Amino acid sequence: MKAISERRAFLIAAIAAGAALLATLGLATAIRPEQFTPSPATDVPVADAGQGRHLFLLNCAHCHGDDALGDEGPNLHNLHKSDARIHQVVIAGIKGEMPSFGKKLHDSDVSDLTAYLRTLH
Amino acid sequence: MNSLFWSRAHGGATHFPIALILGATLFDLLAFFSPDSAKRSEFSTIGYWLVILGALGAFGAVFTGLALSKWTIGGTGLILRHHLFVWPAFAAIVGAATWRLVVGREPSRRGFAIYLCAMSVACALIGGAGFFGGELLLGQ
Repeated sequence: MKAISERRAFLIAAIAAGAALLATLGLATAIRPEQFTPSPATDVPVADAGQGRHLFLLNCAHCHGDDALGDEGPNLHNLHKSDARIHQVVIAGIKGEMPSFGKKLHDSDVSDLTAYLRTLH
Repeated sequence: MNSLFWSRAHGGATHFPIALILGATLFDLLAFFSPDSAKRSEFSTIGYWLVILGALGAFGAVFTGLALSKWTIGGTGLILRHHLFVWPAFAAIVGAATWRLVVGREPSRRGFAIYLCAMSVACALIGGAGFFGGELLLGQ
Protein backbone atom coordinates (compact mmCIF):
# COMPACT_ATOMS: atom_id res chain seq x y z
CA MET A 1 0.00 0.00 0.00
CA LYS A 2 2.89 2.35 0.70
CA ALA A 3 3.73 2.21 -3.02
CA ILE A 4 1.12 4.91 -3.58
CA SER A 5 2.05 8.27 -2.06
CA GLU A 6 -0.45 10.01 0.20
CA ARG A 7 -0.66 12.94 -2.17
CA ARG A 8 -1.63 10.60 -4.98
CA ALA A 9 -4.07 8.85 -2.64
CA PHE A 10 -5.69 12.22 -1.97
CA LEU A 11 -6.22 12.68 -5.69
CA ILE A 12 -7.71 9.19 -6.00
CA ALA A 13 -9.97 9.89 -3.01
CA ALA A 14 -11.18 13.17 -4.50
CA ILE A 15 -11.93 11.45 -7.80
CA ALA A 16 -13.76 8.61 -5.99
CA ALA A 17 -15.84 11.09 -3.96
CA GLY A 18 -16.74 13.09 -7.05
CA ALA A 19 -17.54 9.97 -9.03
CA ALA A 20 -19.74 8.55 -6.26
CA LEU A 21 -21.61 11.82 -5.96
CA LEU A 22 -22.03 12.30 -9.69
CA ALA A 23 -23.09 8.68 -10.22
CA THR A 24 -25.67 8.91 -7.42
CA LEU A 25 -27.10 12.23 -8.48
CA GLY A 26 -27.01 11.20 -12.13
CA LEU A 27 -28.84 7.96 -11.39
CA ALA A 28 -31.48 9.82 -9.40
CA THR A 29 -31.93 12.38 -12.17
CA ALA A 30 -32.18 9.62 -14.77
CA ILE A 31 -34.77 7.62 -12.84
CA ARG A 32 -36.93 10.48 -11.63
CA PRO A 33 -38.46 11.76 -14.89
CA GLU A 34 -39.26 8.25 -16.12
CA GLN A 35 -41.03 6.97 -13.06
CA PHE A 36 -42.37 9.90 -11.15
CA THR A 37 -43.15 12.82 -13.44
CA PRO A 38 -46.79 12.38 -14.39
CA SER A 39 -47.53 12.99 -18.02
CA PRO A 40 -50.93 14.26 -19.16
CA ALA A 41 -51.04 11.42 -21.67
CA THR A 42 -50.78 8.71 -19.00
CA ASP A 43 -53.14 7.51 -16.31
CA VAL A 44 -50.78 8.17 -13.41
CA PRO A 45 -53.01 9.06 -10.45
CA VAL A 46 -52.49 12.57 -9.08
CA ALA A 47 -53.42 13.38 -5.49
CA ASP A 48 -56.71 15.27 -5.36
CA ALA A 49 -56.84 17.90 -2.62
CA GLY A 50 -60.60 18.32 -3.15
CA GLN A 51 -61.20 14.65 -2.50
CA GLY A 52 -58.76 14.98 0.40
CA ARG A 53 -60.94 17.66 1.97
CA HIS A 54 -63.97 15.41 1.58
CA LEU A 55 -62.13 12.57 3.32
CA PHE A 56 -60.88 14.98 5.98
CA LEU A 57 -64.40 16.12 6.84
CA LEU A 58 -65.58 12.50 7.02
CA ASN A 59 -62.70 11.08 9.06
CA CYS A 60 -60.60 13.76 10.69
CA ALA A 61 -62.68 16.88 11.32
CA HIS A 62 -64.31 15.13 14.26
CA CYS A 63 -61.09 15.59 16.26
CA HIS A 64 -59.06 18.17 14.32
CA GLY A 65 -61.96 20.57 13.67
CA ASP A 66 -63.73 21.37 10.41
CA ASP A 67 -61.11 24.02 9.63
CA ALA A 68 -58.25 21.73 10.80
CA LEU A 69 -57.21 24.38 13.31
CA GLY A 70 -57.42 21.83 16.08
CA ASP A 71 -59.98 20.74 18.63
CA GLU A 72 -59.44 17.51 20.50
CA GLY A 73 -56.62 16.77 18.07
CA PRO A 74 -53.84 19.22 17.13
CA ASN A 75 -53.82 22.03 14.57
CA LEU A 76 -52.88 20.64 11.16
CA HIS A 77 -52.01 23.90 9.44
CA ASN A 78 -48.41 24.46 8.32
CA LEU A 79 -47.41 20.85 8.95
CA HIS A 80 -43.67 20.27 8.71
CA LYS A 81 -43.94 16.49 8.60
CA SER A 82 -42.98 14.55 5.49
CA ASP A 83 -45.60 12.86 3.31
CA ALA A 84 -44.22 9.52 4.49
CA ARG A 85 -44.67 10.47 8.14
CA ILE A 86 -48.24 11.71 7.54
CA HIS A 87 -48.96 8.46 5.73
CA GLN A 88 -47.52 6.47 8.61
CA VAL A 89 -49.52 8.34 11.26
CA VAL A 90 -52.81 8.10 9.35
CA ILE A 91 -52.38 4.40 8.57
CA ALA A 92 -50.92 3.25 11.90
CA GLY A 93 -52.36 5.89 14.24
CA ILE A 94 -50.68 6.98 17.46
CA LYS A 95 -51.12 4.72 20.44
CA GLY A 96 -53.41 6.32 23.01
CA GLU A 97 -53.81 9.49 20.95
CA MET A 98 -55.13 8.82 17.47
CA PRO A 99 -56.94 5.84 15.93
CA SER A 100 -55.55 3.88 12.99
CA PHE A 101 -57.17 4.43 9.61
CA GLY A 102 -55.27 1.63 7.91
CA LYS A 103 -58.35 -0.51 7.37
CA LYS A 104 -60.49 2.39 6.22
CA LEU A 105 -58.28 4.42 3.92
CA HIS A 106 -56.22 3.27 0.94
CA ASP A 107 -52.83 4.71 -0.04
CA SER A 108 -54.50 6.91 -2.65
CA ASP A 109 -56.91 8.25 0.00
CA VAL A 110 -53.99 9.17 2.26
CA SER A 111 -52.29 10.87 -0.70
CA ASP A 112 -55.46 12.91 -1.28
CA LEU A 113 -55.63 13.76 2.42
CA THR A 114 -51.98 14.79 2.41
CA ALA A 115 -52.54 16.95 -0.67
CA TYR A 116 -55.38 18.69 1.19
CA LEU A 117 -53.26 19.17 4.32
CA ARG A 118 -50.55 20.77 2.17
CA THR A 119 -53.04 23.44 1.12
CA LEU A 120 -53.60 24.53 4.72
CA HIS A 121 -51.53 27.58 5.67
CA MET B 1 -43.02 -0.50 -2.68
CA ASN B 2 -44.73 2.43 -1.01
CA SER B 3 -43.30 5.38 0.85
CA LEU B 4 -43.87 3.73 4.22
CA PHE B 5 -41.54 0.88 3.20
CA TRP B 6 -38.84 3.32 2.08
CA SER B 7 -39.34 5.41 5.20
CA ARG B 8 -38.61 2.37 7.34
CA ALA B 9 -35.79 1.20 5.09
CA HIS B 10 -34.16 4.63 5.19
CA GLY B 11 -34.52 4.82 8.96
CA GLY B 12 -32.87 1.41 9.26
CA ALA B 13 -30.16 2.05 6.68
CA THR B 14 -29.01 5.49 7.86
CA HIS B 15 -28.14 4.77 11.47
CA PHE B 16 -25.48 2.13 10.75
CA PRO B 17 -23.23 4.41 8.66
CA ILE B 18 -23.83 7.30 11.06
CA ALA B 19 -22.63 5.20 13.99
CA LEU B 20 -19.77 3.68 11.99
CA ILE B 21 -18.44 7.04 10.79
CA LEU B 22 -18.73 8.65 14.22
CA GLY B 23 -17.02 5.57 15.70
CA ALA B 24 -14.28 5.68 13.05
CA THR B 25 -13.57 9.33 13.84
CA LEU B 26 -13.48 8.63 17.56
CA PHE B 27 -11.07 5.70 17.25
CA ASP B 28 -8.86 7.55 14.79
CA LEU B 29 -8.70 10.52 17.15
CA LEU B 30 -7.70 8.12 19.91
CA ALA B 31 -5.06 6.65 17.61
CA PHE B 32 -3.77 10.12 16.71
CA PHE B 33 -3.40 11.28 20.30
CA SER B 34 -2.44 7.99 21.94
CA PRO B 35 1.15 7.98 23.25
CA ASP B 36 1.29 4.17 23.31
CA SER B 37 2.33 2.86 19.87
CA ALA B 38 0.64 -0.53 20.36
CA LYS B 39 -2.66 1.09 21.26
CA ARG B 40 -2.23 3.63 18.47
CA SER B 41 -1.96 0.80 15.98
CA GLU B 42 -5.01 -0.98 17.40
CA PHE B 43 -7.16 2.17 17.43
CA SER B 44 -6.02 2.98 13.92
CA THR B 45 -6.98 -0.49 12.68
CA ILE B 46 -10.43 -0.14 14.25
CA GLY B 47 -10.87 3.28 12.65
CA TYR B 48 -9.72 1.90 9.30
CA TRP B 49 -12.38 -0.80 9.18
CA LEU B 50 -15.12 1.37 10.63
CA VAL B 51 -14.68 4.10 8.00
CA ILE B 52 -14.68 1.55 5.17
CA LEU B 53 -17.82 -0.15 6.47
CA GLY B 54 -19.40 3.25 7.11
CA ALA B 55 -18.70 4.37 3.54
CA LEU B 56 -20.20 1.15 2.16
CA GLY B 57 -23.25 1.66 4.39
CA ALA B 58 -23.57 5.25 3.21
CA PHE B 59 -24.49 3.99 -0.27
CA GLY B 60 -27.44 2.07 1.20
CA ALA B 61 -28.53 5.09 3.21
CA VAL B 62 -28.36 7.34 0.16
CA PHE B 63 -30.20 4.86 -2.06
CA THR B 64 -33.10 4.37 0.37
CA GLY B 65 -33.26 8.11 0.98
CA LEU B 66 -33.48 8.85 -2.73
CA ALA B 67 -36.18 6.20 -3.16
CA LEU B 68 -38.10 7.70 -0.22
CA SER B 69 -37.92 11.21 -1.68
CA LYS B 70 -38.92 9.85 -5.11
CA TRP B 71 -35.41 10.51 -6.46
CA THR B 72 -35.42 14.17 -5.50
CA ILE B 73 -31.85 15.40 -5.14
CA GLY B 74 -32.76 18.92 -4.00
CA GLY B 75 -36.33 19.68 -3.04
CA THR B 76 -37.63 22.52 -0.92
CA GLY B 77 -37.84 23.42 2.76
CA LEU B 78 -36.60 20.85 5.25
CA ILE B 79 -35.79 18.22 2.62
CA LEU B 80 -33.60 20.74 0.79
CA ARG B 81 -31.75 21.55 4.03
CA HIS B 82 -31.38 17.81 4.67
CA HIS B 83 -29.92 17.32 1.19
CA LEU B 84 -27.58 20.32 1.53
CA PHE B 85 -25.89 18.45 4.37
CA VAL B 86 -26.26 14.94 2.95
CA TRP B 87 -24.45 15.41 -0.37
CA PRO B 88 -21.23 16.97 0.96
CA ALA B 89 -21.26 14.46 3.84
CA PHE B 90 -21.58 11.57 1.38
CA ALA B 91 -18.72 12.91 -0.77
CA ALA B 92 -16.53 13.50 2.29
CA ILE B 93 -17.18 10.00 3.63
CA VAL B 94 -16.47 8.29 0.30
CA GLY B 95 -13.37 10.43 -0.22
CA ALA B 96 -12.02 9.83 3.29
CA ALA B 97 -12.66 6.08 3.12
CA THR B 98 -11.00 5.85 -0.29
CA TRP B 99 -7.95 7.74 0.95
CA ARG B 100 -7.71 5.49 3.98
CA LEU B 101 -8.12 2.37 1.84
CA VAL B 102 -5.36 3.45 -0.53
CA VAL B 103 -2.93 4.73 2.10
CA GLY B 104 -3.38 1.86 4.54
CA ARG B 105 -3.85 1.51 8.26
CA GLU B 106 -0.94 3.64 9.37
CA PRO B 107 -0.66 6.85 7.37
CA SER B 108 1.86 9.61 8.05
CA ARG B 109 1.17 11.99 10.93
CA ARG B 110 0.49 14.91 8.61
CA GLY B 111 -1.75 12.92 6.28
CA PHE B 112 -3.62 11.47 9.26
CA ALA B 113 -4.21 14.97 10.67
CA ILE B 114 -5.71 16.16 7.36
CA TYR B 115 -7.81 13.00 7.20
CA LEU B 116 -9.09 13.62 10.74
CA CYS B 117 -10.05 17.18 9.80
CA ALA B 118 -12.03 15.82 6.83
CA MET B 119 -13.68 13.22 9.05
CA SER B 120 -14.59 15.87 11.64
CA VAL B 121 -16.21 17.96 8.91
CA ALA B 122 -18.05 14.84 7.71
CA CYS B 123 -19.32 14.21 11.25
CA ALA B 124 -20.60 17.79 11.50
CA LEU B 125 -22.33 17.43 8.13
CA ILE B 126 -23.85 14.11 9.23
CA GLY B 127 -25.13 15.87 12.35
CA GLY B 128 -26.81 18.54 10.22
CA ALA B 129 -28.28 15.98 7.84
CA GLY B 130 -29.53 13.92 10.78
CA PHE B 131 -31.06 16.95 12.45
CA PHE B 132 -33.05 18.01 9.40
CA GLY B 133 -33.91 14.38 8.62
CA GLY B 134 -35.32 14.06 12.12
CA GLU B 135 -37.22 17.32 11.71
CA LEU B 136 -38.74 15.96 8.50
CA LEU B 137 -40.10 12.94 10.30
CA LEU B 138 -40.77 14.14 13.80
CA GLY B 139 -40.92 17.94 13.60
CA GLN B 140 -44.16 19.66 14.52
